Amino acid sequence: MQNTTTLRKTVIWVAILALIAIFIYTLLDVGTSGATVSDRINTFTTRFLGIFIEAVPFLLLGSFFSGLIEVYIRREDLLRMLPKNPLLATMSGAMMGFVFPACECGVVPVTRRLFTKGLPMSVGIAFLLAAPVMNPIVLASTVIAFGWGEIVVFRFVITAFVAVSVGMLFAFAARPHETLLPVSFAPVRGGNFDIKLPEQNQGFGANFYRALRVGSDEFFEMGRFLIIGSLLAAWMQTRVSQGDLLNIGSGAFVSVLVMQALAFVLSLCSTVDAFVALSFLNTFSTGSLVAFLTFGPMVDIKSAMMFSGVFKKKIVAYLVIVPFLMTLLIGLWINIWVMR
Amino acid sequence: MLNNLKKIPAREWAKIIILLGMGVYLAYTILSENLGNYINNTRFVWLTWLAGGMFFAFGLVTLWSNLRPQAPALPIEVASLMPKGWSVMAICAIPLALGFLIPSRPLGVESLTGTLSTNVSVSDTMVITRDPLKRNILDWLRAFSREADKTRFDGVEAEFSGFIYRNPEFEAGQFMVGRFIVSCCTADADPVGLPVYSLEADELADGQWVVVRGKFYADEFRGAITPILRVETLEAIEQPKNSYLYP
Repeated sequence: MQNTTTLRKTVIWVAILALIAIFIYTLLDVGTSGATVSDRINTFTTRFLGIFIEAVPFLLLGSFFSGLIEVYIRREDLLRMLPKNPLLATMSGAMMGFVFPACECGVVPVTRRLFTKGLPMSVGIAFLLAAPVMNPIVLASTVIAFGWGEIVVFRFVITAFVAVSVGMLFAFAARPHETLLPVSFAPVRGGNFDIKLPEQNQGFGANFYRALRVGSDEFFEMGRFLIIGSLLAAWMQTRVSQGDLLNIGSGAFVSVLVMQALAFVLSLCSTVDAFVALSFLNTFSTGSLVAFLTFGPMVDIKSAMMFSGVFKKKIVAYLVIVPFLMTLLIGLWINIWVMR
Repeated sequence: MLNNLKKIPAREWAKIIILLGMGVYLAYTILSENLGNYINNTRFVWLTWLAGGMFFAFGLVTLWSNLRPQAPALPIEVASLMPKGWSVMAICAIPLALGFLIPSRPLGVESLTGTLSTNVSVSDTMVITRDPLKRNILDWLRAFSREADKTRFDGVEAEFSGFIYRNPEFEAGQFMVGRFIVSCCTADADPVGLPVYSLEADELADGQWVVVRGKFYADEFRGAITPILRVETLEAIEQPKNSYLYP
Protein backbone atom coordinates (compact mmCIF):
# COMPACT_ATOMS: atom_id res chain seq x y z
CA MET A 1 0.00 0.00 0.00
CA GLN A 2 2.78 2.34 1.07
CA ASN A 3 4.68 1.39 -2.08
CA THR A 4 1.81 2.12 -4.45
CA THR A 5 1.31 5.56 -2.90
CA THR A 6 5.00 6.36 -3.23
CA LEU A 7 5.01 5.06 -6.80
CA ARG A 8 1.98 7.18 -7.68
CA LYS A 9 3.58 10.27 -6.18
CA THR A 10 6.80 9.62 -8.12
CA VAL A 11 4.87 9.18 -11.37
CA ILE A 12 2.97 12.46 -10.78
CA TRP A 13 6.17 14.37 -10.07
CA VAL A 14 7.95 12.93 -13.10
CA ALA A 15 4.96 13.91 -15.25
CA ILE A 16 4.93 17.45 -13.82
CA LEU A 17 8.67 17.87 -14.40
CA ALA A 18 8.34 16.51 -17.94
CA LEU A 19 5.55 19.02 -18.67
CA ILE A 20 7.66 21.88 -17.29
CA ALA A 21 10.58 20.74 -19.46
CA ILE A 22 8.36 20.65 -22.57
CA PHE A 23 6.96 24.07 -21.64
CA ILE A 24 10.43 25.62 -21.35
CA TYR A 25 11.80 23.84 -24.42
CA THR A 26 8.94 24.91 -26.69
CA LEU A 27 9.12 28.43 -25.30
CA LEU A 28 12.83 28.82 -26.01
CA ASP A 29 12.91 26.92 -29.31
CA VAL A 30 13.26 29.87 -31.69
CA GLY A 31 13.65 27.74 -34.84
CA THR A 32 13.94 29.91 -37.93
CA SER A 33 11.87 32.81 -36.58
CA GLY A 34 14.90 35.13 -36.39
CA ALA A 35 14.25 35.98 -32.73
CA THR A 36 16.92 35.16 -30.14
CA VAL A 37 16.39 33.16 -26.96
CA SER A 38 16.66 36.32 -24.88
CA ASP A 39 14.01 37.98 -27.08
CA ARG A 40 11.74 35.03 -26.38
CA ILE A 41 12.29 35.24 -22.64
CA ASN A 42 11.59 38.97 -22.69
CA THR A 43 8.44 38.63 -24.78
CA PHE A 44 7.15 35.81 -22.62
CA THR A 45 7.90 37.71 -19.40
CA THR A 46 6.24 40.89 -20.67
CA ARG A 47 3.12 38.99 -21.72
CA PHE A 48 2.98 37.00 -18.48
CA LEU A 49 3.47 40.01 -16.21
CA GLY A 50 0.94 41.98 -18.26
CA ILE A 51 -1.77 39.40 -17.61
CA PHE A 52 -0.71 38.95 -14.00
CA ILE A 53 -0.52 42.66 -13.10
CA GLU A 54 -3.86 43.36 -14.74
CA ALA A 55 -5.50 40.38 -13.03
CA VAL A 56 -4.04 40.39 -9.55
CA PRO A 57 -6.01 43.36 -8.14
CA PHE A 58 -9.22 41.45 -8.86
CA LEU A 59 -7.88 38.31 -7.22
CA LEU A 60 -6.83 40.30 -4.15
CA LEU A 61 -10.23 41.99 -3.92
CA GLY A 62 -11.90 38.59 -4.26
CA SER A 63 -9.69 37.17 -1.52
CA PHE A 64 -10.49 40.08 0.76
CA PHE A 65 -14.25 39.83 0.10
CA SER A 66 -14.02 36.16 0.91
CA GLY A 67 -12.45 37.11 4.23
CA LEU A 68 -15.23 39.63 4.92
CA ILE A 69 -17.87 36.98 4.19
CA GLU A 70 -16.15 34.57 6.53
CA VAL A 71 -16.17 37.17 9.29
CA TYR A 72 -19.43 39.04 8.84
CA ILE A 73 -22.04 36.86 7.14
CA ARG A 74 -23.94 34.21 9.00
CA ARG A 75 -25.08 31.77 6.38
CA GLU A 76 -27.92 30.48 8.57
CA ASP A 77 -29.61 33.87 8.36
CA LEU A 78 -29.29 33.87 4.62
CA LEU A 79 -30.93 30.46 4.29
CA ARG A 80 -33.97 31.67 6.17
CA MET A 81 -34.48 34.25 3.44
CA LEU A 82 -34.60 31.66 0.61
CA PRO A 83 -37.98 31.31 -1.14
CA LYS A 84 -39.91 28.07 -0.58
CA ASN A 85 -40.72 27.52 -4.28
CA PRO A 86 -37.93 25.33 -5.77
CA LEU A 87 -37.64 27.32 -9.01
CA LEU A 88 -37.53 30.67 -7.21
CA ALA A 89 -35.06 29.25 -4.69
CA THR A 90 -32.82 27.95 -7.49
CA MET A 91 -32.97 31.29 -9.26
CA SER A 92 -32.01 33.10 -6.10
CA GLY A 93 -29.19 30.56 -5.72
CA ALA A 94 -27.88 31.67 -9.10
CA MET A 95 -28.03 35.29 -7.91
CA MET A 96 -26.38 34.63 -4.55
CA GLY A 97 -22.98 35.50 -6.00
CA PHE A 98 -23.92 39.15 -5.67
CA VAL A 99 -24.02 38.57 -1.90
CA PHE A 100 -21.06 36.15 -1.73
CA PRO A 101 -18.68 37.35 -4.43
CA ALA A 102 -16.48 34.33 -5.13
CA CYS A 103 -14.59 33.14 -8.14
CA GLU A 104 -14.60 29.46 -9.01
CA CYS A 105 -11.89 28.62 -6.49
CA GLY A 106 -13.67 30.24 -3.57
CA VAL A 107 -17.17 29.08 -4.43
CA VAL A 108 -16.55 25.36 -3.87
CA PRO A 109 -15.85 25.45 -0.13
CA VAL A 110 -18.62 28.01 0.40
CA THR A 111 -21.09 25.70 -1.37
CA ARG A 112 -19.94 22.70 0.59
CA ARG A 113 -20.37 24.69 3.77
CA LEU A 114 -23.88 25.69 2.69
CA PHE A 115 -24.76 22.03 1.98
CA THR A 116 -23.76 21.06 5.51
CA LYS A 117 -26.23 23.71 6.70
CA GLY A 118 -29.01 22.00 4.74
CA LEU A 119 -29.10 24.13 1.61
CA PRO A 120 -31.23 22.40 -1.08
CA MET A 121 -29.20 20.63 -3.80
CA SER A 122 -30.67 22.67 -6.64
CA VAL A 123 -29.88 26.01 -4.96
CA GLY A 124 -26.34 24.93 -4.14
CA ILE A 125 -25.65 23.70 -7.68
CA ALA A 126 -27.03 26.89 -9.21
CA PHE A 127 -24.87 28.93 -6.85
CA LEU A 128 -21.81 26.77 -7.57
CA LEU A 129 -22.13 27.22 -11.32
CA ALA A 130 -23.35 30.82 -11.45
CA ALA A 131 -21.50 32.62 -8.65
CA PRO A 132 -18.12 32.71 -10.44
CA VAL A 133 -19.76 34.94 -13.07
CA MET A 134 -22.81 36.40 -11.34
CA ASN A 135 -20.97 38.69 -8.94
CA PRO A 136 -20.04 42.37 -8.85
CA ILE A 137 -16.30 41.84 -9.34
CA VAL A 138 -16.69 39.81 -12.53
CA LEU A 139 -19.33 42.23 -13.77
CA ALA A 140 -16.82 45.06 -13.27
CA SER A 141 -13.92 43.25 -14.93
CA THR A 142 -16.04 42.14 -17.90
CA VAL A 143 -17.34 45.68 -18.42
CA ILE A 144 -13.81 47.11 -18.12
CA ALA A 145 -12.56 44.61 -20.71
CA PHE A 146 -15.40 44.65 -23.25
CA GLY A 147 -17.45 47.74 -22.39
CA TRP A 148 -21.23 47.56 -22.06
CA GLY A 149 -22.49 45.47 -24.91
CA GLU A 150 -23.63 42.12 -26.18
CA ILE A 151 -20.72 40.17 -24.68
CA VAL A 152 -21.58 41.33 -21.14
CA VAL A 153 -25.30 40.64 -21.62
CA PHE A 154 -24.70 37.20 -23.19
CA ARG A 155 -22.27 36.26 -20.46
CA PHE A 156 -24.63 37.00 -17.59
CA VAL A 157 -27.91 35.82 -19.12
CA ILE A 158 -26.47 32.54 -20.40
CA THR A 159 -24.66 31.76 -17.16
CA ALA A 160 -27.87 32.30 -15.18
CA PHE A 161 -29.85 30.19 -17.65
CA VAL A 162 -27.42 27.25 -17.61
CA ALA A 163 -26.94 27.36 -13.83
CA VAL A 164 -30.68 27.43 -13.09
CA SER A 165 -31.34 24.66 -15.65
CA VAL A 166 -28.70 22.35 -14.21
CA GLY A 167 -29.88 23.22 -10.69
CA MET A 168 -33.48 22.33 -11.53
CA LEU A 169 -32.28 19.02 -12.99
CA PHE A 170 -31.00 18.20 -9.52
CA ALA A 171 -34.16 19.47 -7.84
CA PHE A 172 -36.19 16.78 -9.58
CA ALA A 173 -33.69 14.01 -10.13
CA ALA A 174 -31.40 13.79 -7.14
CA ARG A 175 -31.33 13.36 -3.41
CA PRO A 176 -28.45 14.61 -1.28
CA HIS A 177 -27.26 11.18 -0.15
CA GLU A 178 -27.05 10.05 -3.79
CA THR A 179 -25.04 13.04 -4.92
CA LEU A 180 -22.88 14.33 -2.11
CA LEU A 181 -19.87 12.71 -0.54
CA PRO A 182 -20.40 11.90 3.14
CA VAL A 183 -17.91 14.61 4.05
CA SER A 184 -20.22 17.24 2.60
CA PHE A 185 -23.02 16.12 4.91
CA ALA A 186 -21.28 16.09 8.24
CA PRO A 187 -19.70 19.29 9.45
CA VAL A 188 -16.25 19.41 7.94
CA ARG A 189 -13.65 18.44 10.46
CA GLY A 190 -10.24 19.94 10.78
CA GLY A 191 -11.08 23.02 8.71
CA ASN A 192 -11.90 26.42 10.04
CA PHE A 193 -15.60 25.58 9.92
CA ASP A 194 -15.53 23.93 13.35
CA ILE A 195 -13.62 26.65 15.06
CA LYS A 196 -15.61 28.69 17.55
CA LEU A 197 -14.28 32.20 17.65
CA PRO A 198 -13.47 33.76 21.01
CA GLU A 199 -16.08 36.29 22.02
CA GLN A 200 -13.64 39.08 22.75
CA ASN A 201 -12.60 39.30 19.09
CA GLN A 202 -15.79 40.75 17.69
CA GLY A 203 -14.86 44.44 17.40
CA PHE A 204 -14.55 46.14 14.04
CA GLY A 205 -10.76 46.21 14.16
CA ALA A 206 -10.48 42.55 15.10
CA ASN A 207 -12.96 41.53 12.42
CA PHE A 208 -11.14 43.55 9.78
CA TYR A 209 -7.86 42.02 10.85
CA ARG A 210 -9.32 38.52 10.57
CA ALA A 211 -10.78 39.29 7.15
CA LEU A 212 -7.31 40.34 5.97
CA ARG A 213 -5.82 37.21 7.53
CA VAL A 214 -8.27 34.94 5.70
CA GLY A 215 -7.78 36.99 2.54
CA SER A 216 -4.01 36.54 2.54
CA ASP A 217 -4.42 32.77 2.85
CA GLU A 218 -6.96 32.88 0.04
CA PHE A 219 -4.39 34.61 -2.12
CA PHE A 220 -2.05 31.64 -1.85
CA GLU A 221 -4.93 29.20 -2.39
CA MET A 222 -6.12 30.87 -5.58
CA GLY A 223 -3.10 32.86 -6.72
CA ARG A 224 -1.22 29.76 -7.83
CA PHE A 225 -4.03 28.84 -10.24
CA LEU A 226 -3.96 32.35 -11.63
CA ILE A 227 -0.17 32.23 -12.03
CA ILE A 228 -0.20 28.84 -13.77
CA GLY A 229 -3.05 30.03 -16.00
CA SER A 230 -1.18 33.24 -16.88
CA LEU A 231 1.98 31.26 -17.65
CA LEU A 232 0.06 29.00 -20.04
CA ALA A 233 -1.74 31.94 -21.65
CA ALA A 234 1.54 33.84 -22.11
CA TRP A 235 3.14 30.71 -23.57
CA MET A 236 0.27 30.36 -26.05
CA GLN A 237 0.55 33.98 -27.09
CA THR A 238 4.31 33.80 -27.49
CA ARG A 239 4.17 30.59 -29.52
CA VAL A 240 0.98 30.68 -31.54
CA SER A 241 0.52 33.25 -34.26
CA GLN A 242 -2.75 35.12 -34.58
CA GLY A 243 -2.99 33.85 -38.15
CA ASP A 244 -2.98 30.22 -37.03
CA LEU A 245 -5.68 31.02 -34.48
CA LEU A 246 -7.72 32.78 -37.11
CA ASN A 247 -7.65 29.68 -39.26
CA ILE A 248 -9.16 27.59 -36.48
CA GLY A 249 -11.29 30.38 -35.12
CA SER A 250 -13.33 31.01 -38.22
CA GLY A 251 -15.57 27.93 -38.15
CA ALA A 252 -18.89 28.45 -36.38
CA PHE A 253 -18.77 25.04 -34.68
CA VAL A 254 -15.05 24.35 -34.30
CA SER A 255 -14.33 27.81 -32.90
CA VAL A 256 -16.73 27.21 -30.01
CA LEU A 257 -15.12 23.83 -29.26
CA VAL A 258 -11.63 25.34 -29.41
CA MET A 259 -12.51 28.15 -27.01
CA GLN A 260 -14.24 25.74 -24.63
CA ALA A 261 -11.18 23.50 -24.63
CA LEU A 262 -9.01 26.55 -24.03
CA ALA A 263 -11.20 27.68 -21.12
CA PHE A 264 -11.04 24.21 -19.61
CA VAL A 265 -7.27 23.88 -19.95
CA LEU A 266 -6.27 27.42 -19.00
CA SER A 267 -8.40 27.30 -15.82
CA LEU A 268 -8.32 31.08 -15.54
CA CYS A 269 -9.90 32.72 -12.55
CA SER A 270 -13.30 34.07 -13.57
CA THR A 271 -12.44 37.51 -12.22
CA VAL A 272 -9.82 37.94 -14.91
CA ASP A 273 -10.72 35.68 -17.82
CA ALA A 274 -12.41 38.60 -19.57
CA PHE A 275 -9.01 40.19 -20.16
CA VAL A 276 -7.70 37.00 -21.69
CA ALA A 277 -10.81 36.61 -23.83
CA LEU A 278 -10.28 40.17 -25.03
CA SER A 279 -7.08 39.10 -26.76
CA PHE A 280 -9.15 36.73 -28.91
CA LEU A 281 -11.76 39.35 -29.77
CA ASN A 282 -10.60 39.93 -33.31
CA THR A 283 -9.68 36.35 -34.13
CA PHE A 284 -12.55 34.30 -32.69
CA SER A 285 -16.29 34.31 -33.28
CA THR A 286 -18.63 35.96 -30.77
CA GLY A 287 -20.32 32.64 -29.98
CA SER A 288 -16.99 31.05 -29.11
CA LEU A 289 -15.97 34.00 -26.90
CA VAL A 290 -19.30 33.75 -25.07
CA ALA A 291 -18.77 30.00 -24.63
CA PHE A 292 -15.29 30.73 -23.24
CA LEU A 293 -16.69 33.30 -20.81
CA THR A 294 -19.61 31.14 -19.64
CA PHE A 295 -18.25 27.58 -19.69
CA GLY A 296 -14.80 28.45 -18.28
CA PRO A 297 -16.00 29.92 -14.98
CA MET A 298 -18.44 27.03 -14.42
CA VAL A 299 -16.09 24.18 -15.26
CA ASP A 300 -12.37 23.96 -15.80
CA ILE A 301 -9.57 21.60 -14.78
CA LYS A 302 -9.14 22.96 -11.30
CA SER A 303 -12.82 23.42 -10.45
CA ALA A 304 -13.69 19.95 -11.79
CA MET A 305 -11.05 18.51 -9.46
CA MET A 306 -12.44 20.56 -6.60
CA PHE A 307 -15.98 19.33 -7.35
CA SER A 308 -14.76 15.81 -6.71
CA GLY A 309 -14.07 16.85 -3.13
CA VAL A 310 -17.79 17.59 -2.69
CA PHE A 311 -19.79 15.35 -5.03
CA LYS A 312 -19.78 11.70 -6.05
CA LYS A 313 -17.92 10.90 -9.29
CA LYS A 314 -21.04 10.42 -11.42
CA ILE A 315 -22.37 13.81 -10.35
CA VAL A 316 -19.01 15.47 -11.12
CA ALA A 317 -19.29 14.03 -14.63
CA TYR A 318 -22.81 15.50 -15.02
CA LEU A 319 -21.60 18.85 -13.71
CA VAL A 320 -18.90 18.91 -16.39
CA ILE A 321 -20.82 17.45 -19.33
CA VAL A 322 -24.19 19.23 -19.04
CA PRO A 323 -22.76 22.80 -18.89
CA PHE A 324 -20.33 21.83 -21.67
CA LEU A 325 -23.11 20.72 -24.02
CA MET A 326 -25.37 23.64 -23.13
CA THR A 327 -22.72 26.32 -23.71
CA LEU A 328 -21.63 24.54 -26.91
CA LEU A 329 -25.17 24.67 -28.30
CA ILE A 330 -25.69 28.26 -27.17
CA GLY A 331 -22.36 29.33 -28.68
CA LEU A 332 -23.31 27.67 -31.95
CA TRP A 333 -26.73 29.32 -31.86
CA ILE A 334 -25.11 32.75 -31.37
CA ASN A 335 -22.67 32.14 -34.22
CA ILE A 336 -25.27 30.96 -36.71
CA TRP A 337 -28.45 32.84 -35.87
CA VAL A 338 -27.67 35.84 -33.70
CA MET A 339 -24.42 37.36 -34.92
CA ARG A 340 -24.71 37.58 -38.70
CA MET B 1 6.95 39.89 21.08
CA LEU B 2 10.02 40.39 18.91
CA ASN B 3 11.42 37.21 20.44
CA ASN B 4 8.74 35.45 18.44
CA LEU B 5 10.49 36.55 15.22
CA LYS B 6 12.86 33.62 15.59
CA LYS B 7 10.00 31.20 16.06
CA ILE B 8 8.25 32.01 12.79
CA PRO B 9 8.39 28.87 10.60
CA ALA B 10 10.30 29.12 7.32
CA ARG B 11 7.16 28.68 5.22
CA GLU B 12 5.43 31.57 6.98
CA TRP B 13 8.50 33.68 6.26
CA ALA B 14 8.20 32.67 2.63
CA LYS B 15 4.56 33.88 2.59
CA ILE B 16 5.48 37.18 4.25
CA ILE B 17 8.37 37.77 1.86
CA ILE B 18 6.27 36.94 -1.22
CA LEU B 19 3.40 39.24 -0.13
CA LEU B 20 5.61 42.19 0.85
CA GLY B 21 7.85 41.54 -2.17
CA MET B 22 4.86 41.76 -4.51
CA GLY B 23 3.91 45.08 -2.90
CA VAL B 24 7.44 46.39 -3.39
CA TYR B 25 7.57 45.08 -6.95
CA LEU B 26 4.28 46.72 -7.97
CA ALA B 27 5.21 50.05 -6.35
CA TYR B 28 8.65 49.92 -8.01
CA THR B 29 7.10 49.11 -11.39
CA ILE B 30 4.76 52.10 -11.17
CA LEU B 31 7.40 54.53 -9.90
CA SER B 32 10.01 53.45 -12.46
CA GLU B 33 7.42 53.99 -15.21
CA ASN B 34 7.79 50.38 -16.31
CA LEU B 35 4.10 49.70 -15.73
CA GLY B 36 3.42 50.93 -19.25
CA ASN B 37 5.33 47.91 -20.56
CA TYR B 38 2.64 45.61 -19.15
CA ILE B 39 -0.75 47.29 -18.96
CA ASN B 40 -2.67 50.31 -20.17
CA ASN B 41 -1.36 52.46 -17.36
CA THR B 42 -3.37 55.54 -18.26
CA ARG B 43 -6.52 53.64 -17.33
CA PHE B 44 -5.40 51.13 -14.73
CA VAL B 45 -2.58 52.61 -12.69
CA TRP B 46 -5.01 53.00 -9.77
CA LEU B 47 -5.75 49.26 -9.83
CA THR B 48 -2.05 48.52 -9.57
CA TRP B 49 -1.67 50.91 -6.63
CA LEU B 50 -4.63 49.17 -5.00
CA ALA B 51 -3.03 45.76 -5.54
CA GLY B 52 0.30 46.98 -4.15
CA GLY B 53 -1.44 48.35 -1.05
CA MET B 54 -3.37 45.12 -0.51
CA PHE B 55 -0.20 43.05 -0.83
CA PHE B 56 1.41 45.21 1.87
CA ALA B 57 -1.68 44.85 4.09
CA PHE B 58 -1.78 41.07 3.61
CA GLY B 59 1.96 40.78 4.22
CA LEU B 60 1.89 42.88 7.40
CA VAL B 61 -1.14 41.01 8.74
CA THR B 62 0.57 37.67 8.09
CA LEU B 63 3.69 38.93 9.87
CA TRP B 64 1.62 40.26 12.79
CA SER B 65 -0.38 37.08 13.21
CA ASN B 66 2.87 35.13 13.37
CA LEU B 67 4.25 37.46 16.01
CA ARG B 68 1.10 36.95 18.07
CA PRO B 69 0.46 33.23 17.59
CA GLN B 70 -2.21 33.19 20.28
CA ALA B 71 -4.53 35.30 18.13
CA PRO B 72 -7.02 33.12 16.21
CA ALA B 73 -5.58 32.55 12.79
CA LEU B 74 -8.23 31.38 10.37
CA PRO B 75 -6.73 29.42 7.55
CA ILE B 76 -9.41 28.70 4.99
CA GLU B 77 -9.04 25.10 3.96
CA VAL B 78 -9.93 25.19 0.32
CA ALA B 79 -9.97 21.76 -1.24
CA SER B 80 -6.72 21.81 -3.12
CA LEU B 81 -5.16 19.80 -5.88
CA MET B 82 -1.58 20.35 -5.00
CA PRO B 83 0.39 19.51 -1.94
CA LYS B 84 0.27 22.56 0.29
CA GLY B 85 3.71 23.79 1.03
CA TRP B 86 6.79 24.66 -0.86
CA SER B 87 5.40 23.95 -4.32
CA VAL B 88 2.67 26.55 -3.70
CA MET B 89 5.28 29.05 -2.50
CA ALA B 90 7.43 28.31 -5.55
CA ILE B 91 4.52 28.98 -7.91
CA CYS B 92 3.53 32.17 -6.12
CA ALA B 93 7.13 33.40 -6.28
CA ILE B 94 7.27 33.10 -10.10
CA PRO B 95 5.95 36.64 -10.82
CA LEU B 96 8.44 38.10 -8.34
CA ALA B 97 11.34 36.15 -9.82
CA LEU B 98 10.48 37.10 -13.42
CA GLY B 99 9.71 40.70 -12.41
CA PHE B 100 12.99 41.29 -10.61
CA LEU B 101 15.37 39.08 -12.63
CA ILE B 102 14.31 39.77 -16.22
CA PRO B 103 14.88 43.38 -17.32
CA SER B 104 11.58 45.12 -18.03
CA ARG B 105 11.02 45.58 -21.75
CA PRO B 106 7.91 46.36 -23.80
CA LEU B 107 6.75 44.16 -26.65
CA GLY B 108 8.66 44.97 -29.80
CA VAL B 109 9.22 43.79 -33.34
CA GLU B 110 10.82 40.58 -32.01
CA SER B 111 7.56 39.71 -30.20
CA LEU B 112 5.52 39.50 -33.39
CA THR B 113 4.13 36.10 -34.25
CA GLY B 114 2.50 37.35 -37.43
CA THR B 115 2.64 40.55 -39.39
CA LEU B 116 1.48 44.12 -38.71
CA SER B 117 -2.17 44.72 -39.35
CA THR B 118 -3.49 47.81 -41.09
CA ASN B 119 -7.04 47.23 -39.87
CA VAL B 120 -8.37 48.87 -36.74
CA SER B 121 -11.86 48.91 -35.34
CA VAL B 122 -13.48 52.32 -35.54
CA SER B 123 -16.90 53.43 -34.42
CA ASP B 124 -19.07 55.52 -36.74
CA THR B 125 -19.38 58.34 -34.29
CA MET B 126 -15.68 58.76 -33.67
CA VAL B 127 -14.40 62.09 -34.96
CA ILE B 128 -10.70 62.50 -35.58
CA THR B 129 -10.08 66.14 -34.84
CA ARG B 130 -6.41 65.97 -33.98
CA ASP B 131 -4.06 68.16 -36.00
CA PRO B 132 -2.67 65.95 -38.84
CA LEU B 133 0.94 66.54 -37.79
CA LYS B 134 0.16 65.34 -34.26
CA ARG B 135 -1.72 62.19 -35.26
CA ASN B 136 -0.27 58.84 -34.31
CA ILE B 137 -0.44 55.59 -36.29
CA LEU B 138 -3.75 54.60 -34.71
CA ASP B 139 -5.35 57.97 -35.59
CA TRP B 140 -4.25 57.61 -39.22
CA LEU B 141 -5.44 54.01 -39.52
CA ARG B 142 -8.82 55.07 -38.15
CA ALA B 143 -9.00 57.98 -40.56
CA PHE B 144 -8.11 55.70 -43.49
CA SER B 145 -10.63 53.00 -42.56
CA ARG B 146 -13.46 55.57 -42.56
CA GLU B 147 -12.62 56.96 -46.00
CA ALA B 148 -13.58 54.92 -49.06
CA ASP B 149 -11.54 57.09 -51.44
CA LYS B 150 -7.94 56.56 -50.31
CA THR B 151 -6.60 59.16 -52.75
CA ARG B 152 -8.28 61.79 -50.55
CA PHE B 153 -5.10 61.73 -48.40
CA ASP B 154 -2.70 62.37 -51.30
CA GLY B 155 -0.26 65.13 -50.43
CA VAL B 156 -1.33 65.34 -46.78
CA GLU B 157 1.67 65.88 -44.54
CA ALA B 158 2.16 63.64 -41.50
CA GLU B 159 4.68 62.89 -38.77
CA PHE B 160 4.58 59.83 -36.51
CA SER B 161 6.84 57.45 -34.64
CA GLY B 162 7.11 53.69 -34.22
CA PHE B 163 9.41 50.73 -34.81
CA ILE B 164 10.67 49.58 -38.21
CA TYR B 165 9.11 46.38 -39.49
CA ARG B 166 10.20 44.65 -42.69
CA ASN B 167 8.86 41.64 -44.48
CA PRO B 168 10.60 39.56 -47.20
CA GLU B 169 7.83 40.46 -49.65
CA PHE B 170 8.43 44.22 -49.32
CA GLU B 171 10.35 46.00 -52.11
CA ALA B 172 13.62 47.85 -51.48
CA GLY B 173 12.96 51.05 -49.56
CA GLN B 174 9.60 49.87 -48.35
CA PHE B 175 8.90 49.10 -44.70
CA MET B 176 6.24 49.64 -42.08
CA VAL B 177 6.29 51.81 -38.98
CA GLY B 178 4.53 49.87 -36.24
CA ARG B 179 3.10 50.20 -32.77
CA PHE B 180 1.24 47.89 -30.41
CA ILE B 181 -2.29 48.91 -29.43
CA VAL B 182 -3.07 47.87 -25.87
CA SER B 183 -6.54 48.33 -24.43
CA CYS B 184 -6.06 46.49 -21.13
CA CYS B 185 -2.79 44.64 -20.92
CA THR B 186 -0.26 42.88 -23.13
CA ALA B 187 -2.69 39.94 -23.45
CA ASP B 188 -4.68 42.01 -25.93
CA ALA B 189 -1.71 43.72 -27.62
CA ASP B 190 -2.56 44.23 -31.27
CA PRO B 191 0.35 45.11 -33.60
CA VAL B 192 -0.54 47.65 -36.30
CA GLY B 193 1.50 49.68 -38.75
CA LEU B 194 1.55 52.14 -41.64
CA PRO B 195 3.40 51.44 -44.89
CA VAL B 196 6.24 53.83 -45.55
CA TYR B 197 8.68 54.40 -48.41
CA SER B 198 12.22 55.66 -47.84
CA LEU B 199 15.55 54.49 -49.27
CA GLU B 200 17.29 56.13 -46.32
CA ALA B 201 15.98 53.53 -43.89
CA ASP B 202 17.66 50.55 -45.57
CA GLU B 203 20.63 50.84 -43.24
CA LEU B 204 18.45 50.86 -40.10
CA ALA B 205 17.78 47.57 -38.33
CA ASP B 206 14.37 46.00 -37.81
CA GLY B 207 12.85 47.17 -34.57
CA GLN B 208 14.73 50.51 -34.57
CA TRP B 209 12.45 53.32 -33.39
CA VAL B 210 12.11 56.22 -35.83
CA VAL B 211 10.20 59.45 -36.32
CA VAL B 212 9.18 59.81 -39.96
CA ARG B 213 7.81 62.89 -41.66
CA GLY B 214 6.52 63.08 -45.19
CA LYS B 215 3.44 63.09 -47.42
CA PHE B 216 0.92 60.37 -48.16
CA TYR B 217 0.34 59.02 -51.68
CA ALA B 218 -2.16 56.27 -52.36
CA ASP B 219 -0.60 53.21 -53.95
CA GLU B 220 -0.98 49.46 -53.99
CA PHE B 221 0.04 47.70 -50.78
CA ARG B 222 -0.80 44.04 -50.03
CA GLY B 223 -3.25 44.00 -52.90
CA ALA B 224 -5.23 47.07 -51.84
CA ILE B 225 -4.95 50.79 -52.50
CA THR B 226 -3.58 52.32 -49.31
CA PRO B 227 -2.01 55.68 -48.44
CA ILE B 228 1.76 55.16 -48.22
CA LEU B 229 3.99 57.74 -46.59
CA ARG B 230 6.79 59.06 -48.82
CA VAL B 231 9.39 59.97 -46.23
CA GLU B 232 11.09 63.36 -46.45
CA THR B 233 12.87 63.31 -43.10
CA LEU B 234 13.64 60.29 -40.97
CA GLU B 235 15.22 60.31 -37.54
CA ALA B 236 16.29 57.32 -35.43
CA ILE B 237 15.15 57.74 -31.81
CA GLU B 238 15.35 55.91 -28.50
CA GLN B 239 12.36 53.73 -27.72
CA PRO B 240 9.97 55.92 -25.66
CA LYS B 241 8.99 54.98 -22.08
CA ASN B 242 5.34 54.37 -22.93
CA SER B 243 5.64 52.65 -26.25
CA TYR B 244 2.08 51.35 -26.68
CA LEU B 245 -0.90 53.24 -28.07
CA TYR B 246 -4.11 53.17 -26.07
CA PRO B 247 -7.40 53.19 -27.95
